[in-house]
Amino acid sequence: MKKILIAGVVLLLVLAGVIGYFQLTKAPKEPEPPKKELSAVLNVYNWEDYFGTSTIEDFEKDFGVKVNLQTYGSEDTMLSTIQSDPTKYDVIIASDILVKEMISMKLLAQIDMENIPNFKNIGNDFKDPFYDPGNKHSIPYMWGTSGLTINHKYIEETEPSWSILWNPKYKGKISMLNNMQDVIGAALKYLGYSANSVNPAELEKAKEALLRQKPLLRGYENALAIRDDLISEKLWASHSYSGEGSFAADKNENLEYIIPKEGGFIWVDNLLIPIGAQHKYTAEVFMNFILRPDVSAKIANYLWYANTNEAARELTNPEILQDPSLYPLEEVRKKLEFSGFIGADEAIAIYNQIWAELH
Amino acid sequence: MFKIVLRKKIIFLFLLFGLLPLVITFFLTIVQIQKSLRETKNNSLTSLANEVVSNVEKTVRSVYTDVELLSANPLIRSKSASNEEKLSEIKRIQDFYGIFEDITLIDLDGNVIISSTYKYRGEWKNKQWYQDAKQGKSSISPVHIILGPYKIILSCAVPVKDEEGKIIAVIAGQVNMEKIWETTNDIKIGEKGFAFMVNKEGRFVAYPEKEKILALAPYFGFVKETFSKNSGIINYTDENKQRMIGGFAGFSQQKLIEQLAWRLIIAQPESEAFALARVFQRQIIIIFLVGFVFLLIISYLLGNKIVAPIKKLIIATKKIAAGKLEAEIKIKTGDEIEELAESFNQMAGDLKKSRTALEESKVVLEIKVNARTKELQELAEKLEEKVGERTKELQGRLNELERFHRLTVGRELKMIELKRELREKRGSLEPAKDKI
Repeated sequence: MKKILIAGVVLLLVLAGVIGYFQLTKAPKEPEPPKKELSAVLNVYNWEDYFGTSTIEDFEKDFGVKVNLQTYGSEDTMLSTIQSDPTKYDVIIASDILVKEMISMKLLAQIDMENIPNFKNIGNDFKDPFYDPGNKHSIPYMWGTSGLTINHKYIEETEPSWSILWNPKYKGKISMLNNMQDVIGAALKYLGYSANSVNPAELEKAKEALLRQKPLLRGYENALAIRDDLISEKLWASHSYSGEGSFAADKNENLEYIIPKEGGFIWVDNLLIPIGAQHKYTAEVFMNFILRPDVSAKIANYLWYANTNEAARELTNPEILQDPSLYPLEEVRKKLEFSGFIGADEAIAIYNQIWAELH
Repeated sequence: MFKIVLRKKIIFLFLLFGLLPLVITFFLTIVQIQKSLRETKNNSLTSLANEVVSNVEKTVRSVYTDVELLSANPLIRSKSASNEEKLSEIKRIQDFYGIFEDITLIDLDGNVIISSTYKYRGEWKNKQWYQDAKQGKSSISPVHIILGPYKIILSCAVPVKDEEGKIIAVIAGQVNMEKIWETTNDIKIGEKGFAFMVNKEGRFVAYPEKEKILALAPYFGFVKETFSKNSGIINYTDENKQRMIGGFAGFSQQKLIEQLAWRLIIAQPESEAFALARVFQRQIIIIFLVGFVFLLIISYLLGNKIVAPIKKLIIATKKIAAGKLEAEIKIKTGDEIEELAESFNQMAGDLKKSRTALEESKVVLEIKVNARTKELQELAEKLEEKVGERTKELQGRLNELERFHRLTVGRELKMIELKRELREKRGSLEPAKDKI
């Protein structure tokens, strides 16, 4: 009996020692990583009128998440807003080259593809793009071109050319998009240069052309304002994106969206998550929802935009699929350039300076 | 019931009463040393963080001051000066101060009037710091990256007012974060300690490895903890699974707290920060183990020392029990056990004497018994002879008696025969009498 007692006391001492030692030296408890739970709200920042008519309502209904949708009229506005506060929005949309720039600026979060199984619906041509290898930060959305929308009732030229926007006869009835690269790129193309030229002499000529054009313009405006005024014929011709141009042409038979013979820009818009997003998981669920074939087709059918979602083609309006201004033929596509002058630091300052002088 | 030998009991008791204070001392010493060293380290890290963050604050405030001075420049405020004159002036000022990457003058619609480099991408009217300045409040931007060339900058926007005090434009100076990092990059604590800063989104705004700038600090709960108070200590595990300790501190000026809200952290791996504590701890563990082994040996030796004479006593007792009274114990412990051994020896001596005396008495007694036995034997022989003679005499008499007996018996038998003849004769005469 006594042996048990003594052994018990010694054992207790040793145990107390061991527990005490580990209490003294144990690691602090690590907080757990965030759980995959939907948030009550989702803050989305998109171009004005760049979802389907019921996209947001359908998502809210299916997932019980309140979507706060804010819109912007230019990518520069969006960029400035995200730079000011990367925590403000959970989902944003930007085109290819801006995606690359925003990745360099460390403004984008890495996307967890496990939460976006519908990524498989994206066409192979749009996967692993040059601006975001491996799609680590971007999910392709719609794609399009920058060209011209003209009203045949007022425009005399029969040949599709950027020169229409430099014709003094249309003074006050033409507009340019309020996007630095699109505008300078259009001038470069008009002059027969690459839309991405970093040659200071060519850029100087483009600046001169734009300064010459400036008095003819109603202004540098956002795509939707241009679209609506083209439909109402307040504008006769304008620099446009393919979606808005085709949408307007669908509403007014005198209108036509054209890709100038000199060529233009081709671009791919992408769904992105800012680095400071407060509801990242919900943002990924939202992206997955957008990539559903039925949802994606509804958006494309409303917007009249070419879709990166291959699985949505079956449900897409055949008129859209067969429209060569939306899905350009190969010979036209050869004239199109993705925008981007990455690597030419001096050129960025020249572009900014030209843009500042135009305003 | 268990039976425990005395030696084990003694060892257990020694261990119990020796180990208990040893263990208590061991843990108290470790706790006390760790506590005091931790407090010292925590205080030094927090103090250093406060000191460094005040230097960062001075640098940031000097940016404000410089841009405010710029906004008060008569040429910049002038309505009559041309843009070329203003551009020339801001370029001159940029060269003079040497801290600005770019100085831009923006109108109230957000359009750039002039810029020393035109390195800014994006619309001014949507930048919060521009909006603040337009409202008359000097403001500073979050840390952000500009491309062409790639730079990490801070932008400070200040309203430009005319002579009547009316805001006519906003002037913004871009400062390369290198200026701020000059304050933090020189900080070295030990071999691995360093300083870094995070903003309220948890992104690095200063870090020795430049590629980490504006990446999210991948330490769970880090931002919540460091922004829960203005100064303190944080423990976290870094991306290499290394346990770190950091003293953190924030700005003291309200304006900077609102606009930047950075936290400066002086971080050091715990393995390095508490290396001294670990050395002490190791030494204490060694002392404890040596003490424990020493205690074990002492217990064993003492147990043996106490038990060995007792064992001798037991052996001697067993010998005596077996009759070996010559057993003697030699114990020189100088204590009660030695006394007991002496008493035992004395007892054994006494027992031996008693036995010798007893043996002598036994020999005497044997001789006496033998003599008496001989006497008795002789007496018995005489008696036997006398008995023989008497027996012979009695045998003669017996024979005579036998002869006499036989004579008497014969006569008796004759008498019985005669009486029987008489009765028979009488019987034969009876019937004749009746007839008669």
